[in-house]
Amino acid sequence: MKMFNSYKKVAVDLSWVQLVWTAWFLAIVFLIYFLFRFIGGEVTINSQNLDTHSFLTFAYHPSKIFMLVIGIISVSGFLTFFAKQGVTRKNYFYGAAISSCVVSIIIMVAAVLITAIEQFINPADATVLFLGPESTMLSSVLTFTLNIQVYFMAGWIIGAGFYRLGGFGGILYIVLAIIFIAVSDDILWESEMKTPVKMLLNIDVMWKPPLAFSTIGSVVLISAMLVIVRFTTKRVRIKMK
Amino acid sequence: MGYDIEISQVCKNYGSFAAVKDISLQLKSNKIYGLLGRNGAGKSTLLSLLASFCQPSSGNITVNGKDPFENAEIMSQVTFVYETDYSDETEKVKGMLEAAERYRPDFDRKLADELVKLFQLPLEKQVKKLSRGMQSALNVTIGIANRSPITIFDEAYLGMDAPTREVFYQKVLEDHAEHPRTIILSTHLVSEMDYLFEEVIILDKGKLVLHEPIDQLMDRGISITGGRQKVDEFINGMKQLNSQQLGGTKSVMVYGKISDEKLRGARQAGLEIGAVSLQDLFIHLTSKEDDYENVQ
Repeated sequence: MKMFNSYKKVAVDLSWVQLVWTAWFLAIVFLIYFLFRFIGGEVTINSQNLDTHSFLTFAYHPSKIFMLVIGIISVSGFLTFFAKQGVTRKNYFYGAAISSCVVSIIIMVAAVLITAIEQFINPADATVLFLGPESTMLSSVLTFTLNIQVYFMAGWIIGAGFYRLGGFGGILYIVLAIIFIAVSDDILWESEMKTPVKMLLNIDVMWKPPLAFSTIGSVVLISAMLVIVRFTTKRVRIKMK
Repeated sequence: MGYDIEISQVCKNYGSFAAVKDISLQLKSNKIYGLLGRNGAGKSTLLSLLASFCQPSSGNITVNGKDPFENAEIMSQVTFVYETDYSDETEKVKGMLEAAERYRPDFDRKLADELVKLFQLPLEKQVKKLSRGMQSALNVTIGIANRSPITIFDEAYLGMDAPTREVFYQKVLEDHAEHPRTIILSTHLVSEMDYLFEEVIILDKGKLVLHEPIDQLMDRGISITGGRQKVDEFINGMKQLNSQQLGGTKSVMVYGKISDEKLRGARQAGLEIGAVSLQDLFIHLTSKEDDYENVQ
């Protein structure tokens, strides 16, 4: 009996395509890091000296943008393609969701590995991990993975909104995505910064939620974003392009 | 397993525009259907409904008794070929064929290779760099090689030159003979494709004008030529599609069921009875606003 197309097949294929992009992305980020760190001398980013940062820390913000971008192009780049191959919207959705998690985890693993090699070669170097001197490996890894996943989801929401509604509706989805990112960045994770969201909600600038709270918060956030993408694409008209 | 299609009172609206209006059709499996209609008649909308690219605003579509929309089993058995915008497609021809092979349960690699040779498709070239005709040839190659039980070609020939189109038609016929399946060909190049069709469906302004086996349809359209008075007497009460007059001679195209007896009478009266091409029938059945109502 011939099997029809499952989400697993979509997940494998999408992971493959996105991991090829990821390899390029990481190679370029590493090259820039290498140039800055070992050749460039004193470089400061966000008023922090780059010399005291690991690759994991350096790759964090670029990875968020990378995930945002591949999220934005997921629907327009792949939904029509898969529909043409006779794949349902549902199987595309599950496949794309799984592949995005795979990409998030692989980027994290690659960044951790490069950081580990870096510290093995020069143990005195770059002991500062990511969230500051007091952070643990676990918290760094969790923060990294969950946050870049939230950025993928934000991109995916924007892409889904534009695919379904076009111009004005799409802009509403951008607003939605910004709200999700603000909650994730400003409330759940990146503390100690004076942000509009904190001022609006009257949250103490120095307030730092416990790791478990942030982790559960991110999982809830990602789930809510998944629900939005699914409802937006559930019955969406496939663009004939 | 058969893949009979049943379309029942289907409407599709885009905002306030009704693209498809109350269409009911039964398409038995394994036949070749010609879907004819002028630009904007609703052909592509009807076909994208069949391919589950969108859902009807009202009415039902079933394939093999089941709703095809988001049905993974049915969707994997429907191939929808249309003119695709490949301006951003960096994948090579080879990669596109591999994707089809991976997702289409009945894909035939050998047939695909044969078609690639026939259409002279460059396997290693990026799809966006192919000419429009070559891109259409690629679409058609995948469409035929998929061997899907329901295969839809929506004006798939666009940009192809005449010899390439001829190859396309021949391969459709050949492969259909060996592997029967439902093939729907939408077109307005009626004159060069009419020999492919077993049944003809004509749409006009979103409505169904007719759905008939091609031989019955051809029997219903005749041209009568002769003296003006005799012709007028003969066609009295019949549906006229077109009429031309030169001096005392008149030639009229009529559409409808005509008994053999009546035809014999006409010949005896010296009238010349001729066949009407599908192209002419199509043109005249879709040329006036109220035509479909008269035919129905």
